[in-house]
Amino acid sequence: MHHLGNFSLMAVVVLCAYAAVAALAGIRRNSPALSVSARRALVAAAGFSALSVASLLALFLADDFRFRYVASYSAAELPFYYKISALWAGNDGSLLFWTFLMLAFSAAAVVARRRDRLMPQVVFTLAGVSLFFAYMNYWVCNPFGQLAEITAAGPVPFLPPNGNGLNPLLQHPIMAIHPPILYIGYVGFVVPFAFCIAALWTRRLDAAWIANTRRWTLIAWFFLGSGILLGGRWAYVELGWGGYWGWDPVENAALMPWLTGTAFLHSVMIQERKGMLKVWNAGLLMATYLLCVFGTFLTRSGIVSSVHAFASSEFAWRFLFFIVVAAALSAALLISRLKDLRTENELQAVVSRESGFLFNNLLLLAACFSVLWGTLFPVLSEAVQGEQITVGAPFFNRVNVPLGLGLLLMTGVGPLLAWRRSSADSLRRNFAVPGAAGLAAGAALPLLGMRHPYAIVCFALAAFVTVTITLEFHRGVRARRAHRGGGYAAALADLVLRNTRRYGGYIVHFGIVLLFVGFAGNAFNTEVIADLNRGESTRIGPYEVTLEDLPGGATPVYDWLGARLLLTKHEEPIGLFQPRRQLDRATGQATSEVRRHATFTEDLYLVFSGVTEDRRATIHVYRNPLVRWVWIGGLVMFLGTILTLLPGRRPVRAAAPAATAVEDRLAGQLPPARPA
Amino acid sequence: MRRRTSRLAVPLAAAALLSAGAERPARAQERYNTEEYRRVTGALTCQCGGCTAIVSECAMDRCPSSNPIREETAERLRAGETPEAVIARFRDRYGLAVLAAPPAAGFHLTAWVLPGVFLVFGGAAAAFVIRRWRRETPNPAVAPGGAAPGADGAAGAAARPEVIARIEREVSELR
Repeated sequence: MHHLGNFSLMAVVVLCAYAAVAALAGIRRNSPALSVSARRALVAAAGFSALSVASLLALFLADDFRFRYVASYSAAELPFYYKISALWAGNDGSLLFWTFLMLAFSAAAVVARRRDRLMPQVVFTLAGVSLFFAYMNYWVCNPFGQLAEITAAGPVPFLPPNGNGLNPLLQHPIMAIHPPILYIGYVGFVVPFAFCIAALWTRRLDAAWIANTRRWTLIAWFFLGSGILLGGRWAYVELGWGGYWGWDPVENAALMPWLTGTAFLHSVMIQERKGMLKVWNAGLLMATYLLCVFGTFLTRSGIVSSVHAFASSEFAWRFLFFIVVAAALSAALLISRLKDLRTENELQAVVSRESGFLFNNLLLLAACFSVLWGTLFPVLSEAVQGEQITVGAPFFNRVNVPLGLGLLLMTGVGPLLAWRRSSADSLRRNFAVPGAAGLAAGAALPLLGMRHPYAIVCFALAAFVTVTITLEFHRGVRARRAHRGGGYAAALADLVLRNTRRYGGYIVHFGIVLLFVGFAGNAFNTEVIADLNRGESTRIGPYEVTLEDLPGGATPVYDWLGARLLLTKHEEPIGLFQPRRQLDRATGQATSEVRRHATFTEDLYLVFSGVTEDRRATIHVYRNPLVRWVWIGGLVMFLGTILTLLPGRRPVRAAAPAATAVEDRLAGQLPPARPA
Repeated sequence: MRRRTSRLAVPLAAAALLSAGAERPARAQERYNTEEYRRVTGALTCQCGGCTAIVSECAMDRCPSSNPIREETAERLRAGETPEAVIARFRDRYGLAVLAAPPAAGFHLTAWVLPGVFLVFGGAAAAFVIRRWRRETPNPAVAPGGAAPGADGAAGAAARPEVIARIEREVSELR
């Protein structure tokens, strides 16, 4: 089986190299046959990479511990589903999986858009990028390497009786889906990146390439965001420190392209509608893809210490070389096309949605820069000062919370600004109700006893944005009913289905509001650590936690010791909870299995940290308000993005010469149309 | 779900009965956990070498670094030391690496300043771009002869026949 896997990997290298050369020759000789051949080679490479992944998977399922990678991340007693997820538990296998996903995305794109005029250049770019990853996988970190024992007669194959097992922290259902989802997000941006390069290369710089890759961009953005949230969820339920985001370098690596991708999804609307910001959008897309590659470099190189990072490896400099070359070529291409990227339209007023998008982009990029800066600062400090420092949550929170609140503000302000020009009258009219709602919330919360300034601002902005979004829906429904009559619900459904992009976007924005409400809950987190004997209790707010017993047991994989806790609130029993400590026999690693009492207002998060020398159970209780809204917000964003991906009944025009007049009218910018 | 509820029902009921009839449970031996304590343990990082977790968040069982730091922090705060003094002690002992954020002094001040500089320069660049866009192209909403548009520009825009035609077309699409 390993021969098949290795051969397939070799075939991927050869096919990607051929696809790149054939695509280039096809471009030079203007030969459609060569271009088609290159495209087919790329699709074949995707097939061979699937075969290679399947071969490695078969080795895992067969417990073939002759292979270093299988022996390092699996064990005979591991359930089969974790043998599957062990495939991406280490550097070599995860890079193979990454290559497969990237080629699968590339193949799907070149097949779906095979008649696109940009296809030869797209195939060249996709093949070139894939070639690098396939080369790394075959020569530098090949997962099909076998274990060998060094003897006097030379190295002889070695078969250990069992594997090292999978890190117990990774033995969680979320970890079975989080990496693939995150990887799809990372690799998905390769498609719009390739189209961007192709558009610059061929000087076909209208908005067609953007319109044609919009769904690919959205899918990548959606998966990247979902992967980040799933990672947060995993950290929350598995790591046992009561939080879901630790500003770890690898978390930051995923956040950065998501931020620039979000900026692109907003600013690209200006290019589609007005033919403006062409250089900016191309630059944003390039930055997004390069940050995706940079993210995987951070994960694998070990240049910054991270709890997630794979071991430092010899191929770090190759990755860095690839990033530098790709960035330099992309920048050179962009600079060489500056004359062709002139704006086609004018900005009529400073107070307009276009400006709103620009400032939204500025905040997103500032957030991305501060995350990048903070992540790399320890490396810089060591190089300049010779002293290793840590840049952790206190830095990132202090810098990014104000930026985040600014973004939340822009989420509400944007829809209230009209395209082209917002008059003073319309601003007054549009801002009156949402502004009043925000101010009322901002005034009421301190009166109700809230003292945390950021939380007050956050809740006030959440009220402002929620009312803005609600009014956007209401105005649209009112306009539809005025023309077509019918019930409110039918008009709402019709409105949303006619412009899925716009109203799906609003739903995503509402999901963002819910996320921020969940984030604001952090300001009110409390915790208590207590050493309990049986029958003793500790209190946190209205809750009382009483230790009933310390049961223990063993499974084929681990030994465990639990703390059976009775949770009461205002003296009323809520239930029995049994957080526990587990000792994985294969790895010798101890982990916490937390238990939670989760409600819409707060989570009570129970951790059994161990037993003291005098046999008391150390119980860590966190009271985390509003955490559930983070997950609900993610779900709402998920639904909104799905809606945005659906084709609307009204097509969106590419590079429209003027603003969508109906939207202007709905935003109160233009007088009502004459009845037909 | 129902099975789980029924499994829990008996012990829950028993626990409720016991707690109703018995005296209140004894209080636990609670760890030192004041606001000052959380401030200090939130500003320091674990020095175990295997992670970069903040001390207050380090979930490692019997961590050889976080646990002693927690205990010493509690001890010193109980003895009346200020949080800043406790943090300074650890900084002297472990170096800057023990701090969860770089100090706002010397070279490390750049860590704090540069995001702000990026925002300011970015804002200035955005303002410059907006001004240039406006200067490069005349405003078509301005009426011939230099007459100013309506108070909000909307009347001028609305008066353009192509805009009115577009409104009509798009409204008819909505029907």
